[in-house]
Amino acid sequence: MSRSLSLITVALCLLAAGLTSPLRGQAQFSPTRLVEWVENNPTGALDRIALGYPAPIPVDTPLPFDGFRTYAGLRARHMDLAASTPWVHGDIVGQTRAGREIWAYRLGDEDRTTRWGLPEPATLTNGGIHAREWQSPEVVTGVLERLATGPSDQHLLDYLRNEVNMVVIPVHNVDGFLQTQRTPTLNYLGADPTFPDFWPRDGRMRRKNMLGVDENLFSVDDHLGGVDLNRNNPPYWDTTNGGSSSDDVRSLIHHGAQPQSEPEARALDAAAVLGPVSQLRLYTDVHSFSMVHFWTRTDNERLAVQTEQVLDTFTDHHLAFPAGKFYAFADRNSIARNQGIGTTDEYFTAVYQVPSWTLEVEPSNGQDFHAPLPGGGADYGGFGVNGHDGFILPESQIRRVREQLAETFTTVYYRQAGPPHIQSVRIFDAQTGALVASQDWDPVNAQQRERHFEQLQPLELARDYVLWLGFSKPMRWLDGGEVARFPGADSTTVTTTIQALAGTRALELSIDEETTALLDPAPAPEGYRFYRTDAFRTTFRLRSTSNNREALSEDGTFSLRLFTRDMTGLAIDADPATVAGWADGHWVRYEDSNGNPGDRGGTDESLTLTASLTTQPAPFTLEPGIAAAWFDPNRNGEGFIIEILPGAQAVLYWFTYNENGEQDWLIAQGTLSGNQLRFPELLRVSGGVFGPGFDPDAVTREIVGDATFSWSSCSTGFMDWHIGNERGRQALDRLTNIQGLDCGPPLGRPIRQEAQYSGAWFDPTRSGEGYTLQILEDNSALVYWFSFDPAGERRWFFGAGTLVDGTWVFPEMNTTRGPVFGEEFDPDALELQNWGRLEMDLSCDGGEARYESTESGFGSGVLSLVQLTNMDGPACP
Amino acid sequence: MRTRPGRAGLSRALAFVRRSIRQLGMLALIPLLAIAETPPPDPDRWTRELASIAIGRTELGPTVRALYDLTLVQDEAGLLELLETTRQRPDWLAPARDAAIFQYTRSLARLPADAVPTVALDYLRRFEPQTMVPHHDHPYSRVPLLNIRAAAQGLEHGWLRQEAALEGLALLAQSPGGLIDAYLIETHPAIRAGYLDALAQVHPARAAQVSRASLERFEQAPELSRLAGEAALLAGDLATLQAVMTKGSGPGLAQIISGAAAQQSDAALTLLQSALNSGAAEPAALAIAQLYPVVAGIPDAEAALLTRLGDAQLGSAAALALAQSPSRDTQQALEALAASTDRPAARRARLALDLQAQGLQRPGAMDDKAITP
Repeated sequence: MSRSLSLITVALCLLAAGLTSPLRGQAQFSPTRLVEWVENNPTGALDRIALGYPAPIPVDTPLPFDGFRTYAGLRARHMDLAASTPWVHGDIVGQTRAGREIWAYRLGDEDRTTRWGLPEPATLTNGGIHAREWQSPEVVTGVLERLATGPSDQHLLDYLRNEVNMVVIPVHNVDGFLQTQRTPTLNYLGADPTFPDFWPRDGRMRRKNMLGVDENLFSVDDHLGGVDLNRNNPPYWDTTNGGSSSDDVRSLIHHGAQPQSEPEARALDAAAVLGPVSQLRLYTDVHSFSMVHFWTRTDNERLAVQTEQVLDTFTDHHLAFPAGKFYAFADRNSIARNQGIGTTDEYFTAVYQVPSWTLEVEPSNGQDFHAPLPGGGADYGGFGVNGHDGFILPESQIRRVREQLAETFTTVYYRQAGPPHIQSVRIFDAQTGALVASQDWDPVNAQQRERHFEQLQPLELARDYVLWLGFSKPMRWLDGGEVARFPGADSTTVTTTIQALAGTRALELSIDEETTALLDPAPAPEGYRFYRTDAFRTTFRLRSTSNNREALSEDGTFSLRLFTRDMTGLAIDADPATVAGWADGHWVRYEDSNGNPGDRGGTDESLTLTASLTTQPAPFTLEPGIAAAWFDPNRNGEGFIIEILPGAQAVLYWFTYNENGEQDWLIAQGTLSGNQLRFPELLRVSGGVFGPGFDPDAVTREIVGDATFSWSSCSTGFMDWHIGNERGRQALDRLTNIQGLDCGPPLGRPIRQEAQYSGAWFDPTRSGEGYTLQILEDNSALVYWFSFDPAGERRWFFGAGTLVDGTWVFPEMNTTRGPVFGEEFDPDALELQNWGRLEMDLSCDGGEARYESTESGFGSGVLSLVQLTNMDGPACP
Repeated sequence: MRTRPGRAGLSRALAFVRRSIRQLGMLALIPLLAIAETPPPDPDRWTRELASIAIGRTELGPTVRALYDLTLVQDEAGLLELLETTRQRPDWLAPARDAAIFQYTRSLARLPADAVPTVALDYLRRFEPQTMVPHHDHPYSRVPLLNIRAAAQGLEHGWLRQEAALEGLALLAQSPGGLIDAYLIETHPAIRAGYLDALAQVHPARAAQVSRASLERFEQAPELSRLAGEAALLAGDLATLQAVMTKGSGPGLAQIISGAAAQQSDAALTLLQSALNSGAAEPAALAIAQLYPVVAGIPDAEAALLTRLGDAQLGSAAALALAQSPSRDTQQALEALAASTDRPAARRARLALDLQAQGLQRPGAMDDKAITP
């Protein structure tokens, strides 16, 4: 039962208390008394403790400021960002001793899948386990705020948001934190069983949870109670190394009745599940103070090395800030194996086997490696009058600490997102811009990728080529929008090595253009893919030397040897055929240059090319005659209509299916380059309905992905696409030849006047649906009508027609269903059905379409048409 | 291993880890009474408990007094000699040696800066502690039992502050602009604190001059927030307070607004409204937090915050305040808004209701409920 005392009564008792000195021995401590933190205590009043600077008072505000927020303010901030941004997702991971919810937040996009369809790697950052360490919830909230509100940078932040699942617990020990904030300047002295004169307890300086403690500071029988949640964890629970854990319930470091006896401790396991556990690669428990990283190690040497490297990244990055702080840590050879005291970082090291550490936020603590910083509040102009001032960061410092540590945390999240690999390679002929070779490594499951390689023409000696490398993550640090050395890193992280080997013989390469990390969004080779610096380009030439001629004389094959590191120094995966991951305390499927799995990475030699010693014909480049209908012979029932417009522009219509085997279609505008058509924005049109109910204002166009078409000749090519987290590719065979649009040498065939009607037609009152018409070489016509059904589902109808008395008549318009989108497409599932009849009267001034459908719900009708696009050939004036 | 600042020092400190793990266990078994007779422990083997006992059993007073007396007579050579003798004193255990020098360092706070020989202060600033004890959260990392360097540095900060206060008073005696100039030039927190100390000692009329002068320069120098705000509070200068609360930033702003809330309760609504209309999110959010408790329930205040719920920056601050509104009308308005289609405002209304439902309390609220296993 508690006994309540008023503050006045306690103060009166103080009058009888003798002078205490922090240097007196245990036998001379003074009785338990409430004391107040003040800036200065020149008279030595017994009911006060000098802090050396103003004691912070938490403010009930959600927005960050130069001070500390209350729990209500922090919680409001978390909830608001969860509701107002797409990057914060709250989950309750447990309850405190008082039954309060413990919230974890997943930062990043909603799904836990990368844009390659793989499970996202995960990190867990815990804050506020020790109630009095207010720096900690602010720092972890700072991480949340940085990810939630930082600008869309097409770089580090966007990469993390899209590709990593970052779990944070801003306030773990909610009950204790609230207790410290109820009386933000009051606590007891003379109460601690070990150091009664030195160690303030409960109130502002509560560290433990609230087991067996009421929330009334003035009831004094219980104020030493509670469990140190950072001593309550296996496997080293109740290991009193150096007196760092205690079974005395009054102790500041009481470890509890049994391992994970406290619900707060168990909540960490629930938070790890949000990763999920299999994807977890990092754990940090944020504390104060001392400005160090504490970590432990098991017998897992590889885990120790990786932890050390993560800490190196963290420390180096942070030290590079102006007036940067040095977060010290012990090297692994100085750390005993399998020793601990029951902390959470030990638990995550031993059980989850991920790099784990306790981050002790500044100020420093007088250790010589932080010299000349004196330690504690004296680091910031304080009087250095109390050794506990390090737990109470001055308000003047918290904004910097919050913001800079948040930025540093993102860099270690980035590192633990995984080793980079070269996902795509493109080689272009420098003179014509034509694609010569391409290689992509596409995931087939969470462990493996398959290679897709095309070489359209052998490389020639003494000819310039542009090499474009696409990586799985942004690779270079940016400072003011320009590539810069990663803060604190050595220079090797910004170099890229490109070599060529024929067998074991090195080829002589001329690298004429410095390898450049690309900063603009553009198709290869001009720009990056998804994130700034996730692609590099350079220009190279196989020199026409006797060495090269001899080396290539046998079969002309050679491989490119490519090596670089990501911005934190993690080398590329030498074998992109396997998907690097994390298991058992180390990287897995992360090969070195010899193909051996490990943690070092190596040189990627997966790209094998053919070179010719003889002069090759000029690479094929696009011309207007590439406009046609195209399809993959293995995917009958699906295809592409391509219109080439004047000005090197193009329009794509992709008639396909959805995942349910119902019709679907996508459209895009693109550009010609060399032998490629690039469509950076595939659009999915929604909101229309068939027939009179069509409302153009209800039509929406959503960007769902991109596609690139490449041709090796007028009749064959291939395309690849990326939609959402899916990627695919298809061969291209020509289906039609449009009249007046010869490809290759001109055929000199007569062109009838109606050839100018090839192109897109639509009813201006029905923007969002339309026709694409091709007048073919045999004077027939092919029409595709991209529209909707009466329920608003996308549909397409097609048919072949002839000109009858000035009217294009399509007596059998067809529709289809059956196959599904993507890899599972089955041409045998295709069902072809007659849809009805279409007639078109066309002229350069406009036209009319009349339809009569046999499919229920469509009926008949008339549309007034205008021509929307003209081909780059015969065209209306 | 790459060399980094202090890494070598850290390695040294942690080189004893394996040994320490074994020895720490053994050390705990040493009978306390035997401490005095036991050979001095290795500097890396002390625990706080043992060190505390060692200090308690040593009579430090005469040595501390002798050091202090030598300081008073400015006997630099004698002082350094006694400091060094104390540091190496063979009949004392290391914690007692550190404690004597620490206590002496703290005692210097009673003296003016020029009474302490520079050489002595340099000695203390560089003092390497002889007693390292386990860190609270990592027994293998050692921290000084008594941080003499921090105490010495703190002394200097204290003197800096005192000197700045005197300088500030002198400047104020001449013109308010002089103090403002000095405040802008100096960025050391102790010196700025000294200037604020000086300000706190002058007549309100002089503070009013500083307040008005700050107001004129505030647009170009927002780092004056603290000085301007403190001066305005001392002078009761509503105009400057209003300026600080609408354009201010930096440490101390929350306290100034809190002070304004207490001092200017009659004008609290006006101050709140001007902060809300300023367009600066941070001071406005702080104004909501600090002023709303004074104006809660006043219809105009409730309305002002209700209209801010849809504000991208201030909506959450308004929601947090309104979650504690005593007004029934506000409660109904929140419920109506929460069900409305005004998306940001509706979201914040729901936030306010959720915060209300979670019963998040302001600091200071207490509960006798015992938290049971």
